[in-house]
Amino acid sequence: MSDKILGTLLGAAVGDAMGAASERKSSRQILELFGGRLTEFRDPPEDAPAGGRKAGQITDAFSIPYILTEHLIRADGKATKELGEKALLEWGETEYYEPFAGMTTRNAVKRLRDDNKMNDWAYAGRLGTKLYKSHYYALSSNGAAVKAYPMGLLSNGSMEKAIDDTVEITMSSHDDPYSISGACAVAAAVCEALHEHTSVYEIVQAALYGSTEGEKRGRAHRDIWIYPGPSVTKRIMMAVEYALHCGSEEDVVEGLMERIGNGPAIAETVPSSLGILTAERGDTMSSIYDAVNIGDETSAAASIVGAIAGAYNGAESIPAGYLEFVEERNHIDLKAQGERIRKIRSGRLMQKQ
Amino acid sequence: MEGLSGRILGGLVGAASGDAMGAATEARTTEQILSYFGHKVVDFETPPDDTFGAGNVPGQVTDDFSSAYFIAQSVTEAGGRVDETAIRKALIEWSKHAVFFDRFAGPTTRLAIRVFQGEKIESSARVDMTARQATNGAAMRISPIGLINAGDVDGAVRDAVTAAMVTHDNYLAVSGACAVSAAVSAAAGGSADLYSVLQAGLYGAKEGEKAGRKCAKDVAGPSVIKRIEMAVDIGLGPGTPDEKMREISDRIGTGLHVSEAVPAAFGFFAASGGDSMETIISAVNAGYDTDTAATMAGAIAGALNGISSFPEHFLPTLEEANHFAIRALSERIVSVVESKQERKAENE
Repeated sequence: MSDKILGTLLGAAVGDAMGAASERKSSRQILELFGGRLTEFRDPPEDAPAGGRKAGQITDAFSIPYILTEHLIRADGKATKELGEKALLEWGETEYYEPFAGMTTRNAVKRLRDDNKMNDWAYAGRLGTKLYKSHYYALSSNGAAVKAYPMGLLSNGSMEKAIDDTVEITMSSHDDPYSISGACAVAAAVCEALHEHTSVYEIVQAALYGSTEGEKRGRAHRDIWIYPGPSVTKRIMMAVEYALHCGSEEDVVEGLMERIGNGPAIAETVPSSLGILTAERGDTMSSIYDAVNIGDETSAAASIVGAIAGAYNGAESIPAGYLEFVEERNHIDLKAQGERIRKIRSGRLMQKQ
Repeated sequence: MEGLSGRILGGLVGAASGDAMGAATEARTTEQILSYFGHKVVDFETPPDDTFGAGNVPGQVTDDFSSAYFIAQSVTEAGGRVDETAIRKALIEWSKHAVFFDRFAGPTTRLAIRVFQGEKIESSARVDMTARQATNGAAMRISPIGLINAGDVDGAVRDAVTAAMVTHDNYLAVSGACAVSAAVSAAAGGSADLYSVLQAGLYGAKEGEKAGRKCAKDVAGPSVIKRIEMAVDIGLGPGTPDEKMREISDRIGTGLHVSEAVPAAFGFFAASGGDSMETIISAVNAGYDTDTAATMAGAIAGALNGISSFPEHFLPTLEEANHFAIRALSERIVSVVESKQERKAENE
């Protein structure tokens, strides 16, 4: 189990760091920029969001869930909206906030900061303008999905807990049914992938269960805000169907980008990630490479496939040396974090017995 | 089938009424639209207080048709010649009308107009944002370009590339604009039907993508062509028009991205068998960027079926609410089309 836990953390971190160099580009621009497919850590180009940072450095996609995981561990795995808010506020103080905070997360952090200063009348006034969440491009965005794997890790194998916890945590920043649906798809997939005996088919089924249940539980939440947008569940089905039609040999990346897309909308990134996992039969590095080269929001997609495939195949499926390199480059301790997660999981197991 | 004048006027009224009807439903989901109005929106309504269109009277348009209207004015004044100058002039003129521009202009268009007016945009924009500029703004105002090229699909594509590039210089936005322009051109040309208009739209999307890959920026994003194919599959597939509207909104999406709103517009048109009002009603009630989808879908269906496919009060209501002379504009477009056809006949 410890290899699977570490695989989840490392897969997510490696995907994020590798994708930082190809972020926002088209697949064609990536090929041109790197003289072929990008399959290693490279310094991000100047015009990328991570421009000026170094090869192997993570962005928001991994730093947000890393801090969230620390908070969850300290709370013995008990997820609440307030815990999610605290973790996000702490992240807002880090070096990652300015260059990387996405539209939804930036607003959520600002709101949380302001809430401490704002009186009730001002607060009510701000809610009145909430219809557009201050932006209109992607009302339900993938920031919710990249920080969902920790709830899969700390669910201790219980799909229901993974989904309920993800609803709570997602509400702290992305309080709408589709964001929650996409986040729960990822948490449920990770939860399933951590089982000793599972398959890509079962992981996809878990993701679909998570997206369906997440949307349902999200809609039933008293503080939910409903926005229009494409259905995460239907888009997952479309992406997986397309990947199956392609078989395992054909390059699936271009077709997924053309049909599903991989932009900031959660109904693009999460479905495209599951399409990639399906096409690559769950292989960790092939999935990460596909997500790094599909274009647009590559860090988000690669960290999602990295977490799920890393959980499925374990840290052994990731090249030797990557763990040390990523830890050193980012001053993070994935092994220690993984070990504390394992203790919480086995502690709960002992309580059960 | 109506004559050329009826089809041109139908194209304008379809676009304008789609925009005005959608102004009342924009940014809501289908459920929220039904619960706010108590029924599907099938006519002009007063937009709710919490939406972009708040303050509009029933029949008043937003940025979509108003910018199209100024483009049509400018291009007909230039005798039907579409060049960068005519489009820029139209957009600058349009931007002086606070009632449209200040309240509604989208992000990509707003940035482009600031640049035309000589403003130096801070180069602190270190990060390349092209991927967020593959929006539907060029396609939403392209229908007059299709109308002045009635029956000349290749001309409609060529002129749409020129017009789109002025504000949206990435290949996806160009592909989307060409799809709508080509479909409107085929529909207004006469002797068209649902299938031939859909085929022209796909032809336009492909030709536009090809042209855009040469002259416009590359950009990451879903393909307008593939998404039109998917939307048309749903539209022509099984199910009631309402079920198909839901499927299009769930699977294709009806948001700001050019690969959502444009394909969705074709899907609604297909799902309604090409009927003008059914097409607009689907687009208006599908949720999200309803006014833009309905403007494009309305232009295509209206150009196919002509002015008689709309309720009688539509044209006078639209003219009055917006102080627009739509019928007069339509007559000027007709004479541009006729003189183009004469020139062509002389050359042959």
